[in-house]
Amino acid sequence: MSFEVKDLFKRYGDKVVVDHLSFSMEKEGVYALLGTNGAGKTTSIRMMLGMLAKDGGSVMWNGKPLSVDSCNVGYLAEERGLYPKCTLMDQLLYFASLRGVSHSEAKKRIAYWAERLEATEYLYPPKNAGKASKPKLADQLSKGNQQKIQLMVALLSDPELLILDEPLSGLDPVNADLFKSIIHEEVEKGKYLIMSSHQMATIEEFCTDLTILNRSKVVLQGNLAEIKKSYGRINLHIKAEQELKPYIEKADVQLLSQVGYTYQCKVRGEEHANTLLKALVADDVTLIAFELREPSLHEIFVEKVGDTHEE
Amino acid sequence: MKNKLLHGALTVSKFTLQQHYKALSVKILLLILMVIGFCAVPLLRMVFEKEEDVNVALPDVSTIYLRNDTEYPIDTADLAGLYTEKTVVVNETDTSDENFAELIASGTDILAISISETEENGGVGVQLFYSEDGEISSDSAQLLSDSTADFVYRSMLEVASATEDQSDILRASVRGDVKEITEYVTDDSETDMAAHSGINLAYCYLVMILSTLSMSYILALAVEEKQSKLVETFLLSVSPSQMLLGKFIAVTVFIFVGIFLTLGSFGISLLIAKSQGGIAFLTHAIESMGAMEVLKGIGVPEIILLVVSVLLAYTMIAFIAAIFGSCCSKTDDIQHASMSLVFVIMFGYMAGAMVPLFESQAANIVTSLFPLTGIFSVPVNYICGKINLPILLISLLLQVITIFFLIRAAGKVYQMMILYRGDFLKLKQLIGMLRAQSAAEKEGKTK
Repeated sequence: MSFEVKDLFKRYGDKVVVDHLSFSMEKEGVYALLGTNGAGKTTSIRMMLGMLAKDGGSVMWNGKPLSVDSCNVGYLAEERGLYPKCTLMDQLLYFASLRGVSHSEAKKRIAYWAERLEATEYLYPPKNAGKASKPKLADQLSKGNQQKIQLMVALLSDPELLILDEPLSGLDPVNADLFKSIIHEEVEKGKYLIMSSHQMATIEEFCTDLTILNRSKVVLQGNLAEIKKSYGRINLHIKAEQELKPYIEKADVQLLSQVGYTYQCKVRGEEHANTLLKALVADDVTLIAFELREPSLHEIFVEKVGDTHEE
Repeated sequence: MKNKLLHGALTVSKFTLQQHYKALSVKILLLILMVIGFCAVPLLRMVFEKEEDVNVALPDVSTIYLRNDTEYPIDTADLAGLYTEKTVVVNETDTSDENFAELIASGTDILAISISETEENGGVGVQLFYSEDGEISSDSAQLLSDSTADFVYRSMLEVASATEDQSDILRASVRGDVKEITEYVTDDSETDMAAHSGINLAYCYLVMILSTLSMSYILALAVEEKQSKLVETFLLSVSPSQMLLGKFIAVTVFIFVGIFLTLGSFGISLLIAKSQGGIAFLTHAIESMGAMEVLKGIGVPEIILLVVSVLLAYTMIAFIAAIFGSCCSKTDDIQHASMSLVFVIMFGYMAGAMVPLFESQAANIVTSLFPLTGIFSVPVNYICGKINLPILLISLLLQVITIFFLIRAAGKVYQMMILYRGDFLKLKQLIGMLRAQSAAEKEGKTK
């Protein structure tokens, strides 16, 4: 199976909101769409799903234009909600039937996901418990619990391609971990995931490939590991028991921050770091940590879009 | 493809209806409609049977003294025969006026009738006297007096040796009427202006109620997913056309179920009334509205025309409401949309209801041909003979064409506006956006 977006283009009047976005997924995994607010992520997703008319480009699934007929798609939209005055079970059965899932199969899947997402008490209220035995309405649930139901809606059709727009926003750490574990499971099942998020640590945890959008344009694209590798190990973390600032200055290393005797620095390359290390060892400086690592996704993102975003 | 469209639309309508009927307010509304249906028959009976009572009930008396000073004989048995459920004694007398007064005063259920020739024109006058201490109403006394006068008139015709047919002709009323020559030569089957206006007003009112109901439901449903932030979740499974069609079906079923429940309750109530003393009051009600002649002329084709016209009117307003509803994003917008729509409906209603008052053939044709006013007036204009068959067919065709374009426009606007979040769009802005989209589509096709 393969998913390919080619030359996706959209403009409103004279303003280009998605400028020739292209990327592809040849195997299962998570593809990340990153970008600042208004970069064009949600517009791109809407065009991929056919909700918004494209001004150019194509979206293919296994060589055919992507549609609900050619691909079983699950989607957790950024703007998400539920009917406030309907019971949760009614809504889930309704969305399942719209996706062509039979009533009996939908009930089985709802039971599975209710268990998995720890939402059983809302969907199957205890009997003979007075008011508590009444079916729960959406507006009686917290935002996080509503989000669980919304994720269930996206997963009910057992989709091959799952598109999650900011899936973890607004979740507490416990529920965020629950969502992450489900995303891991879906990837293990061989699903194709496209995820947009502002939480770089989360994206870094999952994604293999990514595109960073800034003001409708692609500013960085490719395999995350390779991108990081291309930057090299330039982040130096040092922890010592004494002041190291003179050594850092002498070695011409850029000091980014200092807290006590803990230093975050930027070097030009491994050789540059080694020069500093040799100097420290020569003077018998006791080092607790001396770690040279690649830049984080957060750092790469800030570097790529930070300057223009400030404008 | 069509099956898929229908499947999605039906799933949407099924869920919408299920959720709607679960609401307590809707259950109460349906109950109220049924109560209205049930109560309509007793109410009609109260209003129109009362009139009948006034006409029929003779004064409750035991003895009637009759003094006939004319040469026309009155059979006392005829007078007594007016009372079918009790025995009333009718005594002929030639007593003086003073004694007459004494006779009446001797009891509260005694009255006297004096028949005498009038001096002015040589005619005959009937005077009825009753005691003011008794419980005889002037209405019931007048009825007896009129019946006596009728007997005298019959006697006069017999004295003149008129045959039964001649008597019927002479007793028939003659009415004066004024008509313009153009009216006179147009069509014999035309209903008079008062009846036409009355029936037209009733039909306009029905269409207006139906339109207002459909408008409010369509507006609320069109914005429901936007308010619940469910649009994108929906669009993954169903197209905007399916959503719109599904909601239209749901509203239609809901409204017509309400109508059928009301009519059904009315029918049951009517059956009960029929089994308990008849429904003559209904005929009275229809007669008093001057609609009897028109109703007599209504057959199956006219009923089909009425049903089709109501459905066309409903559909037209529903899809205008869908266009307005598509431009809404929040509850405040619905108020704007409602006001604009009420203006549109009232324009059609006022034109449809007022034009018959002018008795202008040209105005009737124009209001019939213009779709927005036509939905309020075409069937009644045709049934009352104000427009002919070709005009009727052209009017209906124009309505169908308008509805076709409205459905297409509603689908386009709903699709275009479904992800729109902003203030309620003005017509000018909406047209601008539609033009821009068409231009973009054309450009895309060219590429």
